[in-house]
Amino acid sequence: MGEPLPFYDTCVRIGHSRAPDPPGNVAGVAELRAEMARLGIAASAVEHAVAREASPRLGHELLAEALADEPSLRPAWHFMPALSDRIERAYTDPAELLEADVALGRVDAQDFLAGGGDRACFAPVLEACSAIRLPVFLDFRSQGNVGSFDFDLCRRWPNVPFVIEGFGGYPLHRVVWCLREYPNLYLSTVRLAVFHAVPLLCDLVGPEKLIYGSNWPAETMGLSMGVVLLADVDPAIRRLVAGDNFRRLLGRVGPEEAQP
Amino acid sequence: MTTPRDAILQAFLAGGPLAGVDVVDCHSHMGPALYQHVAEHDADGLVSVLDGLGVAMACVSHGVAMVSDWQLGNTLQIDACRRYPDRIFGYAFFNPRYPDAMAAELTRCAADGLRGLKAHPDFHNTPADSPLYDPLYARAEAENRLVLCHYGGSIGGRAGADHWHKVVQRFPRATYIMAHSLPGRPAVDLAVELFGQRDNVYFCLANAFGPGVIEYAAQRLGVGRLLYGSDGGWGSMARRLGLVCACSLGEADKRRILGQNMRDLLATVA
Repeated sequence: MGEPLPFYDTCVRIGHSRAPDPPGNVAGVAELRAEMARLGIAASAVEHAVAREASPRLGHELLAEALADEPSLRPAWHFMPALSDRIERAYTDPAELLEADVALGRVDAQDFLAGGGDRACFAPVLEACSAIRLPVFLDFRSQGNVGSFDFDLCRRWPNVPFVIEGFGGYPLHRVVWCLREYPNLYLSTVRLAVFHAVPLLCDLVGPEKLIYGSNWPAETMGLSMGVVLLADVDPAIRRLVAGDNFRRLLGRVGPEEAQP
Repeated sequence: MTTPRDAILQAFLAGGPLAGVDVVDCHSHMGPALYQHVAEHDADGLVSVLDGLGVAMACVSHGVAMVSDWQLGNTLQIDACRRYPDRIFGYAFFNPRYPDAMAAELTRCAADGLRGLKAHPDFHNTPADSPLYDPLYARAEAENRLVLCHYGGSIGGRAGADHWHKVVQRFPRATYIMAHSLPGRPAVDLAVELFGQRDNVYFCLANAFGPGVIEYAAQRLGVGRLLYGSDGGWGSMARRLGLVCACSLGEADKRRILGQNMRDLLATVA
């Protein structure tokens, strides 16, 4: 047997979400840690249900409390547009993101106006992400359409690594074209149901483009792990997809003067 | 405290393939289908994918039969099964919108070795319990054939649980696999309510994505009625293998779900 893959799960959630399935499926840090230990997941970027469903700032406060003293768990923050402090103060200060040790940001694909979010009050948020090269996940899990999303956003924000998250498999031709076209665009394994996905996509766009995520607890961790662990590719490529690709992106996060 | 890992989970976490486990995929696809962009879709390609994953056999219906010309697709399926009789089990695919051709196609496919039958009410815009499908179910009863049912879940639609319930009531002696039928606990409860007493109804786990769903289904329906199915070709075999390998059932139960149940089932049908 080979060495265990150093999985870095970019898509897990804790907190009381609106409609857990099955009823009562409420996950906290203890449940997350137990599942990570059972399946050998090394690290995770964790979002909070309240941040995604109601208030980013409130959710992130809860997240910070939950993740205190958990070195293998880092916060994944949800972003809303910089519209008005009378609604909620958006994240436009890169220092705040660094201080909180945020591993990634996430925007809802529909709320991000199909790629036009930077032209609809998200630009100050992206400026902050760009300043520290924070990865931004484009969340298609519940809403949004990959087929009509304007990925030219990647050209406008070349310092921001963008990750398509929740792409099931169609339209594959558009995603492949975009992954080839934009060097700063990546694809998450969350809900990736393409037949023979990893070997095919490694061939089409290169293994460095694939980022591991599970969408736990909405889905079991085993699903996305299977996509990587059982991929008919070189073990070194599995390792990239399982975690090294995302760790490479994480390694670039920091103030401009500290970047290589 | 961490639960000890069984041998299947260990092999999975080590990157597979699952040596020593007889894996039979009860529900998969091969062949092209325009919008699915299926890679490795011919017989050689499918078998190479099975080899890479450690899957012994895939039970397959053909994309051309599903999305286009059903008879041409069945012919292509027959060819594939003849090339790899130990690796590919074929479901003949039936389009009730061609009622005059049903009987002859059923006979042809049976004679040419397609032992399973598949119905897809959504593709053909025909409810599962429409009389247009009756020749298929009647043949399944008379010849002890296996029917793979495209199952739309819950109630309603053309392939909803209520439609299939009526089919099973009217043709109780056929053997049925409800494809991607247990997406969550409510679906398991519905399956128990409608099919709990019917031990000739089996359930494909291709969309049992939620945590604990397989375990709950095992408890309520019994492990013996659960089958690994991937919807492969149109979905990922590896993803669905991970679903079963990483669930928290014991090794013996995983073995039954991954292959033993389907082997037993195949042995009982013509």
